[in-house]
Amino acid sequence: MNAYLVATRYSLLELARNRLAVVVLVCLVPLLIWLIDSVVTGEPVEFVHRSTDTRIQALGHQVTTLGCVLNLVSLLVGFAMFTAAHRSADFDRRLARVGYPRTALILAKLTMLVVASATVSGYTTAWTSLHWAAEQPLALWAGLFLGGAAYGAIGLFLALFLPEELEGTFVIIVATVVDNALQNPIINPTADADAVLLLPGYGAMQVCTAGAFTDTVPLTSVLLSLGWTAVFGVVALGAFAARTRDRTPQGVCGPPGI
Amino acid sequence: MLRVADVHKAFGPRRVLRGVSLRAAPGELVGIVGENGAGKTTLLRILSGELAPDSGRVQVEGRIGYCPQHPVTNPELTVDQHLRYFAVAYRLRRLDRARALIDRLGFEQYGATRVRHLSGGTRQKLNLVLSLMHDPAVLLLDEPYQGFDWETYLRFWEISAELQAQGRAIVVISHLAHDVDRLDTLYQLRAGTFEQSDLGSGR
Repeated sequence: MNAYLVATRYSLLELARNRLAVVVLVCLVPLLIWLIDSVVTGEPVEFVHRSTDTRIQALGHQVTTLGCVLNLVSLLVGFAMFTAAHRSADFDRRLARVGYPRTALILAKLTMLVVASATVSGYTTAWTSLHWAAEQPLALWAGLFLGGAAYGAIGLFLALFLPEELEGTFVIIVATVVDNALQNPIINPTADADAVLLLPGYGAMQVCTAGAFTDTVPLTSVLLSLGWTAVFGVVALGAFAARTRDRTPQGVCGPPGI
Repeated sequence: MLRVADVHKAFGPRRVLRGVSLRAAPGELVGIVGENGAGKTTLLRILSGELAPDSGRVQVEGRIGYCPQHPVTNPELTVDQHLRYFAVAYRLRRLDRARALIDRLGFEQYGATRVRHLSGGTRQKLNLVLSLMHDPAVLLLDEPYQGFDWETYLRFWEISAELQAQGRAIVVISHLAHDVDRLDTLYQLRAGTFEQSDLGSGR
């Protein structure tokens, strides 16, 4: 338990010291929502909400806000998790090899993912709510949380093999922009191609839209999004466990001190 | 005590180690020298358990302390936070030994400083302390004094001599000619195998 608490405390500290992510979160979220509110039309737009198979009519700037904030939350959490995992990769391996409980390190990473997603989503939901009222603010938060968690896990996954932070950041930006653009209700109002279902942000977008404009929460979308998080999270953390597996020479008493 | 017998390691077609054997007894200071790319670091990574050999046998009695060539630290954490992290890893209740080593190496004033803001030499001092703070029986040191000033370099050898006197087996990778007279045994790594020179107790 002590190992988990120490690892979690320092992981969260490390996350909070990612100044770029903090500045983008604090400044860009309100600016983005204000800009959309000011610039994008308030005319109603109609689109198909695929997971509940209903037609939804909503104001243009509200629909645009949803797409943009989900994009931003996914990008921020993905970037924060990638940089945290990338910067501490060798250090974490060293800790594990000298005997730090690997389970504690893995659970600390998962806690970091949940805390980052929850915080960024909460902050974004609060700013959105200042501009217009979602039907279910909690569901809107949940949708943003799911998007953040999915891309956070993708960030952890990318940190396994991308050698530089610039490359990881670039991949996450491209992935979130493409993901969001393909299923944006304004760009693609019917979004009826099955391929859209395969996007990591699909489930999150469905939950966000339901939370903003309906009184239901599509459970299948929640599960689909959690599935993406689980797949990338298991691969990333499984690879960490495999890379730090015990190769201690014969006859060693106690863990080595690497 | 460290015993290594007939260790082989290849990376793809490149055979780095071709039957390496060595022995470091308690209280013995063993040096390994070799040209760049000769496989010195690969060997130490195998001895520490970081890398698996293709074949051969490595036997260690007691805990290992491995100081990697380049400091492996977390730039966002302070020196004290590193100590607390490693205290958990080593199951240490107290940090007395780590603090004493920090005092000896002369960077006690940086406890609350993030590693990001430390000089290269101070990072290397921390790297060394992290590998010695649990009082290991076998020390594997990969050019541990890189970036040290002359005074710290001499202090490092003082600490090594004390550890030797306390019965610790020490293997140090070195490329400096003036280190040789401090060693009990010198192994020269050439073409993936050792040439041994028994230096006696020349210190």
